[in-house]
Amino acid sequence: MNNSIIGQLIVKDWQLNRGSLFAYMLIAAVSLWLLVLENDLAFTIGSILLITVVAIIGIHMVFISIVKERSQHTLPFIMSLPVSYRDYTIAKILSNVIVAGGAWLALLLALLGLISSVDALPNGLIPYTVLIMLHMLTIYSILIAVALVSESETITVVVMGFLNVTISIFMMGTAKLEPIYAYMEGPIAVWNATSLTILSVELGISILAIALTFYFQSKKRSYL
Amino acid sequence: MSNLALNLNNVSIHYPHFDLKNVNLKLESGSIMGLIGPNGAGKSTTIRILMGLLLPDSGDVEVLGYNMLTDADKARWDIGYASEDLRLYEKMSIGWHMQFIKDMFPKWDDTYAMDLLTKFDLKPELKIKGLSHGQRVKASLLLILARRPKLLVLDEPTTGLDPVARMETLNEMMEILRDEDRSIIFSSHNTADIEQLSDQITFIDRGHVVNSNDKESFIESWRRIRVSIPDNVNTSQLQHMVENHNNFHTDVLLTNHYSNDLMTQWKSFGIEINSIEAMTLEEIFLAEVTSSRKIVKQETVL
Repeated sequence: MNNSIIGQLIVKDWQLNRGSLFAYMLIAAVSLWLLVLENDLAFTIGSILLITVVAIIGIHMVFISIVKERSQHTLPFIMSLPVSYRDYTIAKILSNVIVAGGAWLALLLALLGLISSVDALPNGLIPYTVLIMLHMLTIYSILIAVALVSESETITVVVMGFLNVTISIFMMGTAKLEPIYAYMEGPIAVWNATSLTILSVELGISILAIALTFYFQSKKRSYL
Repeated sequence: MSNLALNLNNVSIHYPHFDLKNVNLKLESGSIMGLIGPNGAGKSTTIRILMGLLLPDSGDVEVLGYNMLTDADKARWDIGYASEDLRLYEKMSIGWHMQFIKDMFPKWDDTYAMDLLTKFDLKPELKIKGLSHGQRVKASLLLILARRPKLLVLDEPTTGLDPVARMETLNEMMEILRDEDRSIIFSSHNTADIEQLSDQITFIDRGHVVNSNDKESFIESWRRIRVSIPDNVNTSQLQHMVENHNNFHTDVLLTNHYSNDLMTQWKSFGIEINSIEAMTLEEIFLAEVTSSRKIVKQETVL
């Protein structure tokens, strides 16, 4: 493993994507502002916008840094350098985790800060919010794995469509679970067995997706 | 340590519709090898295998002393690779790419890079998106040449270039060989490029190496011989006769073992030799491929 090369590949991905990411973060800031307006419509628009931006940041990174690198034939340029496929896989996962994961974390912290500081938003929303954001991180991990392993734009698009559908299913499904909705309007965040189980499963799936990525990448015989 | 820049030993790879079979290639340091073959012959597959971008099903691949099946990333510090299907980042500039490579390679030569910019008439601020095909090829070459690699691996470097860009590219490749420790392997459809540059030539067809030798041997051993053959002589009796074309009253025979002794031997059958002509590399290539396909066909029938 060559740390210096991995670092340079991460910087490269950041430089290639920073313009778009600043734009997305601007939209995210607007959505956060809508959330604090204490207006139901603004809150709904802000929530949808925020979830959409988080999803788009992830999709953008996966498509530009992984899928397009293959379809636009810049992968041979990178693989002609002293880069092993393990270095490449680590760099791609890290650049996605740092860039999109960083944006995700910033938004999660901003959301938690909002819920804690705005009276109109009950602290009981915190577990539900964390679970939704974690679900987005999980589907993002799966998307990275699929993009890297499948090397196919079509497969990645299909899986992305399917995973995006799971966001609304997950939001509705968890909101209907009694141990979750019973505390959503409450003044304090309640982490019970149900929310902690969902959290553990989501984290487990994310870790498994990344581990399987390394496994399948190590089995490859063509690096283009 | 071996003085070979590259050594492919019995390399094979199987695809559903294509097989690369038992490829053996050796290139001495400081030499330049041209790979010639028709489309789909296996040139790019061979080059990808020797770059460690594709792992063969069997065989050994050693480049600059590194086992490419396990240490390709280490070898690539000293290998510059450009291929027809390699692209730079469209929305970034030439200057950005130069900085990216410079940050990675301690051996990056700034002076040489600036010299190449001028020579290739490129500007650092130009974005890749706005470059012509020829400019893109030159930008790719600049990025690998300024790293001062010991081995250049170029897959169809001159394809699609206008005559001026082609000449500039070839000139730069020749310049590299002034340093006798540096080597080049390149593939091309263009036999004129290969003939102009190469010390060694490898003909590849349908996934196997038809012949690999130094250029002079090819040029000296192949001849087109116009002859008159008596009716009682069967040309299959003639030693080293590769092809026979009947052209009205004259037969045209091709041989790949031309020598005065061979001519004397043919004359002993009563054959009258009218003229002996040297062949171009393109003609030699076509004759090699045709003769190889005939042999494969005969073996398949048997």
